[in-house]
Amino acid sequence: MILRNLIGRTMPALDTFLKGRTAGPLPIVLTRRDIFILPTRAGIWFGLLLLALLLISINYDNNLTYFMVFLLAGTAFLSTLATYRELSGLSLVGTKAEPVFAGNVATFRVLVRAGHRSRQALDLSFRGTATSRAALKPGSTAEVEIGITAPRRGWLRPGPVLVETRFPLGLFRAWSRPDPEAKVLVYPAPARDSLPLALLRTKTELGRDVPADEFQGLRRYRPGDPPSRIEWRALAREQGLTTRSFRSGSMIDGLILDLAVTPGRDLEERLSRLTRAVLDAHGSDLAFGLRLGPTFLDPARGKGHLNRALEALALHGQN
Amino acid sequence: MARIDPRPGDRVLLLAFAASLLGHLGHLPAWIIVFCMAAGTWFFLWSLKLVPQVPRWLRLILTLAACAAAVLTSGRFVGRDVGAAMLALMLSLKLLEFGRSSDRRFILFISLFLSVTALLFAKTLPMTGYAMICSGLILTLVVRLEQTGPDTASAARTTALLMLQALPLAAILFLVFPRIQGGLWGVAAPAAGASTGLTDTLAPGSINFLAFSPSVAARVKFSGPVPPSRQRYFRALVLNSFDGMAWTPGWRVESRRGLPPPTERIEDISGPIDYEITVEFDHTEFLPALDLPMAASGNAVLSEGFLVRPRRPPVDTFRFRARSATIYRTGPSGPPNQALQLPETGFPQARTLAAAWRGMPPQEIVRAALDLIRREEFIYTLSPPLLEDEPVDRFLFETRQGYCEHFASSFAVLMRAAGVPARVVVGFQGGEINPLTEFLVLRASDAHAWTEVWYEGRGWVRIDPTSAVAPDRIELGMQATFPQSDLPLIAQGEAPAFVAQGVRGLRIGLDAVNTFWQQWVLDYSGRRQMELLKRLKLDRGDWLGVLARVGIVLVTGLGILGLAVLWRLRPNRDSDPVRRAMNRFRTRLTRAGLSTPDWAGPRDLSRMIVLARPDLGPEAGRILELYEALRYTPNPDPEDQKTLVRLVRSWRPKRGTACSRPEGGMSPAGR
Repeated sequence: MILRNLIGRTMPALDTFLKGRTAGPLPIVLTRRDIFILPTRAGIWFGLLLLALLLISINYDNNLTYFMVFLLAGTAFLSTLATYRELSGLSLVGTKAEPVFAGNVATFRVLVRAGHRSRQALDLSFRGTATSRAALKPGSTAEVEIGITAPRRGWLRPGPVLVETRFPLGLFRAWSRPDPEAKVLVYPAPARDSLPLALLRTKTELGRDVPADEFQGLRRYRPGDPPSRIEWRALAREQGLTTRSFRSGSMIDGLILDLAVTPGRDLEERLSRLTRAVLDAHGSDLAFGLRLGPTFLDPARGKGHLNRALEALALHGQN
Repeated sequence: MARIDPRPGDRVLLLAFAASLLGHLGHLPAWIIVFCMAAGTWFFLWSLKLVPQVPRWLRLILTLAACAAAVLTSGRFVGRDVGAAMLALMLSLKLLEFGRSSDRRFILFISLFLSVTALLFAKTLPMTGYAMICSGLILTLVVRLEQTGPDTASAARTTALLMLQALPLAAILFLVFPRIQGGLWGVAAPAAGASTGLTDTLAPGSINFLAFSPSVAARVKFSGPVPPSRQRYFRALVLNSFDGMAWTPGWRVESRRGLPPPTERIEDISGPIDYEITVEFDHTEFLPALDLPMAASGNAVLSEGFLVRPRRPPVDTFRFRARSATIYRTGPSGPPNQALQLPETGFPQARTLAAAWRGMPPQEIVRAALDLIRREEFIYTLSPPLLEDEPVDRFLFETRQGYCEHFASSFAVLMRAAGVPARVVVGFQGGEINPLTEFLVLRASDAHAWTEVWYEGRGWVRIDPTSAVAPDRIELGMQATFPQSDLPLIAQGEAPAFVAQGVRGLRIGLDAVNTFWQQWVLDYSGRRQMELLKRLKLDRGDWLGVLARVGIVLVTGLGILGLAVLWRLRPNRDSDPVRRAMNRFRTRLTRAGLSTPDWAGPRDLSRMIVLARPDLGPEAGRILELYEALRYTPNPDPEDQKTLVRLVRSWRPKRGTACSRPEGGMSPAGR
C-alpha cells in the first residue's frame, strides 16, 4: 500500500499501468500514459502472412517481393501510430444516467469530446456490457449510450469505461480505461402485486388521520409546484404566480407508509412491496409519507417527492 | 460464430479477388481462371439472394477435386505454380462458403498475399506498380471493414497516407536487409514452354521470328573496353544433330542431375575478357556467354560444348560473371563424335556438291563453300520464301534467300557431307551499347546462328557464313543491316530520319531506366549490398556490422514514427482566428508579467490590465473592445477580425511597470 502510494506519486504512468485505468477529475483527456496498444488476432495473422512472404522472397531471391513485404510491414508498423492517435487527445467529459428499477437496463450516456481530430471508430463499453460504436467529427461531442442491466437496488457503479479502437487496419487494438466514476441509482424492483395501502400505514401513535389537503393559504410559486395547485385567478388579477399550499407536518399526515409494518419474507421483499405502494400512491395522486426505520419522509405529493422516496428505498441500509 | 448473410458492401470483396487474380492471368491454367470466375459469379448472385449457397457436401467435393487437379496440372506438391493455383482456389472456395464475419478479412488477406506473389512470375516495373496499387486497394477495403460507416474515399485516403509514410522505411529495409545467397529449399524450374526466346531446336524460321522482337535478352557489363562488334559472338547453344529439317542439341540439355562437364581445354591467345552478364527471365534456359568461356562464377558452370549452364534451373533473371577468350585454340583432343552425323536420305544436290570437295584440306573446303555463297548472290533477308520440303537443297540451289539460320544450317550440312566435322551454334551477335549506362544490350532481335568447324590440331573454329553474304550484319549489327522501315518499331513506309533517331533515343532512355531497375531492384544481391555497405563503411561482417544495420532500420523506423507523432501532435492550430488571436494576447500578457484568471471576460480583463499596468491600457483596451464586438454583436464586421489579428500580432508588451511605449504600436501600415 505504501509502495502503491509511492509509485502513484512518483511514476504516474506505471501507476496507471498497474491500475489499468485512469481516474481523476473530469474531463479525462486520454494521453500516451493512459493508452495501451497490442496486436489483435488479425494482426498476428497478418504478421505470419508477411513472414511467409519474406521466406518466399528469400527462397526465390526475389527483390520485388522483398520490397512489397517491407512496404506492407512498414504500413502495418505505422498503422500502430494511427491506431494510437485514434484515442489520443480524446476526452471523456462525464456520464449521465437516469435511475432505474432493479432488473431493468440502466442506460449510461457517456459524453466524449473528439478534440481537434476526427475519431473514426470508437468502441465504448463497461465491463461485461455490449460495446457501443461512436464516430466523431473534429471538435464535436457525442453521447454514447451503453446499456447495463441493474441487478440490485442501491448505487450501481459500472467502473471504468473501456474505450477501444482497431482503426485503421484492425491489426492493432488500442484501449484505455478512463474512470469517470459513473454511478446510477437503482430503485428496488416494485413488487408485482399491489397490497392495499392501508396495510402498510404506520402503527405509531404519532400518526393521526388528517385530511391530506388541509388548505393553509397562498404562498409564492416555487418551481416544481404542480400546475393543479397554482392559483390561476390570482394570476389573472396580476398578482403573480401563487400556489395554494396545504398543511402537511410530521405530526399531521395522511398516509405514512412504514417499512416496519410491511409484510414480507425479508428486507428486500418488504422494500419491493413498499416501492410498489409508493408508486401506487403516486399514481393515484395521494400524499404519502415514508418511514424506513430511522429515516422519515414527510407526506407530500409530486414527482420530486416520489423520487426522494424511491431514493430512500434504494439506499435503505446502504451507506 | 453465427453465420452471417452478405451485406451489399461485401460485393467489394470480389474486387479484391479479381484484382489479385489479374496479376496471375499470365500463368494460371485456364481451368482455374474459369473456376474462379464461376465462384465469383456464384457469390455475386448469392449476395443478391438469387441463388442458394452451395451445399456443404458439394463444397467438400469441389475442394478435394480442385486441390487434386491443381497438383496434377503442375505435377508438383510445392512450388510457385502450384502455390499460386492453390491460393486462387482457396479464395474461390472461401467465397462459396462465405458465412462468418471473419471470412471478409480472410479473403482480403489471402488476396493481398496472392497479389504480391504475382511478382514471382513477372518481375517487371509495371507488375510492381500493379502489385502496389492492388495492395493499396485491398488495404483500403480492410480499412472499410474497420470504419463505422463505410466511406471508401476516406478509407483510400487513410491507406494512401499510411503507405506513403511506409515507403522510406521500406526502401531502407530493402537496402539493408541481409540477403541470403541461394534459396531455402529447391527452387522450381519455370514451366516448360514459357520461354519466348531461343529454343533448343533450330528449324527454319525459329530465329527469324525473333528478329522482330525488341525485348532485351541480356545485358553485359565488361570490366574492360567493349570488344568490337565482329568479336561479339555470345554462344548459348550448340546443335549437333540434324534430321533433314531441324537441328537439335543431340544430348539432353536440361538434365536435372548435374551437367556434362567440359571435356576440352582452351588455350587463350587473345588475353582474357572479364564481364558480367544478366540474362532476362525469358531467355535463361540457355545462358549466352562470349565466345569462348573459360571460367564462370559461382552460380554458373562450364559444360560440354563450351557452354555455360546455371547450377540450378533459374527462375527469373540470372546473372553471372565469366571470363572468355576471343582468339583461342580448343586443343588437340580427338575429333568430336556426332560432328559428322547426317540423316540417311535427303538433300541429294548438296551431297553431290560436297562429294566433289571430299579429300581437300578442311580449310580449303570451308573457303570453297564460303566462295560459293559469295559468288552465287545469296540474299540475306528477314522474309525468305518458305521452304516446305528439302529445305537445304531448295535454299542452296533455288531460292538463295535466307536468314542466318538458313546459312548456318546449310553450311554445316555441306561441311559434314564433305567430311569436315561441323556443328551449328545459336546465340547472340553484336548488340547495342547503351551510351548512358555503358552496358551492352543484347535484344532478342540480335539472336544469331553460325557454324563451327573442327580442324585437326586446332580444335573448333567459328565460321559465320552469314558474314560472307551480309558483312554489315556482323560489323555493325542489326540496325545497320536492315533499313529502319524493316524494324518493327517504325510503321512501314518512309519514316523520317529524326523519327528513327527519336525512337532510338527513347529506346536508349527506356533501357537506362530498365538498367537501373535491373541493377538496383531486380538484381540487388548480397554482393551489391555489400558494395553499398562498403561505401557507407558498414561492411563489417561481424555482429557489430549486423548491429549497425539493425540500428539503421530501427532509427529510420522510429524516426519516421517520431516525425509522424510530432506532425500529429504539433501545437493544435485553432481553426478560429479570433480565439487564436486571443490566446496569443493572453500569452503575451503572461509574458509581460500579468497573470490573468481564465474566468475573466473582456471587460474584467480590461479593468485588471488598466489597474496593474496603466501603460498597456490603451492598446489592450482596444483589442478587448474589438474582441467583445466580434463575439457579442449579432453580425460582427469581418474587418474587425482582421484588425484584431493585426493588433494582437503587433502588440508586444514589455515586462515591468515602466510606462514604456510598446514597440510596433498601432501602425496599421500595409499588413
